[in-house]
Amino acid sequence: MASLGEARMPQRVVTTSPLIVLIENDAANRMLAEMILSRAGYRLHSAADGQTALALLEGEVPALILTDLSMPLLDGYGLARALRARPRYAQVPLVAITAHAHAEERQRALSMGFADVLVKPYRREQLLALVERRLAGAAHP
Amino acid sequence: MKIRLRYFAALREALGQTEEALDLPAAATIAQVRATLATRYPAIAPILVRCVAARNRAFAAEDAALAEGDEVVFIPPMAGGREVAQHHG
Repeated sequence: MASLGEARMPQRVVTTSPLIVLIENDAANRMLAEMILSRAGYRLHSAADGQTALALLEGEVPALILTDLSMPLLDGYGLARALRARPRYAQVPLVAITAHAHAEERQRALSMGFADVLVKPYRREQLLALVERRLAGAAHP
Repeated sequence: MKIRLRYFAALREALGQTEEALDLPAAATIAQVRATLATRYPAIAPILVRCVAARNRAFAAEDAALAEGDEVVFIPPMAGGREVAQHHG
């Protein structure tokens, strides 16, 4: 698991499982998601904001990107626009993570190209089910 | 032995610090760390009981024995929620 933005100490785990990029501003929430996904066997790179995530994305194209919407420097919507403008990442499924459960936020995210929206607080089972669903969708569009 | 504690969210706000070192007997457990903190900082005791524990960035059971240099984090419930305890399994 690599975590940038706070510790600035990238780490990489060498396995063949799908690579997921997690962008979450809140350190506690980010650590929770990191631990859940790592325990489930996914390779994970993480960042605390969209700008750091873009730098992180210069390497391998991930199978899935999970991003908070409200973040400093570059928020989730800005990150989505930046990714969709890059052919290399245009097809990577994006999932929005937000504390705002109202329909307007969900609709805005979907209209911006997010494949799904995960509302905080979420349960481990919700996160893993969503990830599995989106990875399966990416493999069999 | 000495371990490193990192504080996030409500714990960081309540304690006014992001991390500290803690001296413990050899092979002390997560439960002992939790009890030590609750005694040292009574104000955070109600928060601590709702936190999940992580050792070196992985979920840790209460009886997990610690080693010199370990990083321990007690992660408060996700903002607005009560679901964090569900993450431990």
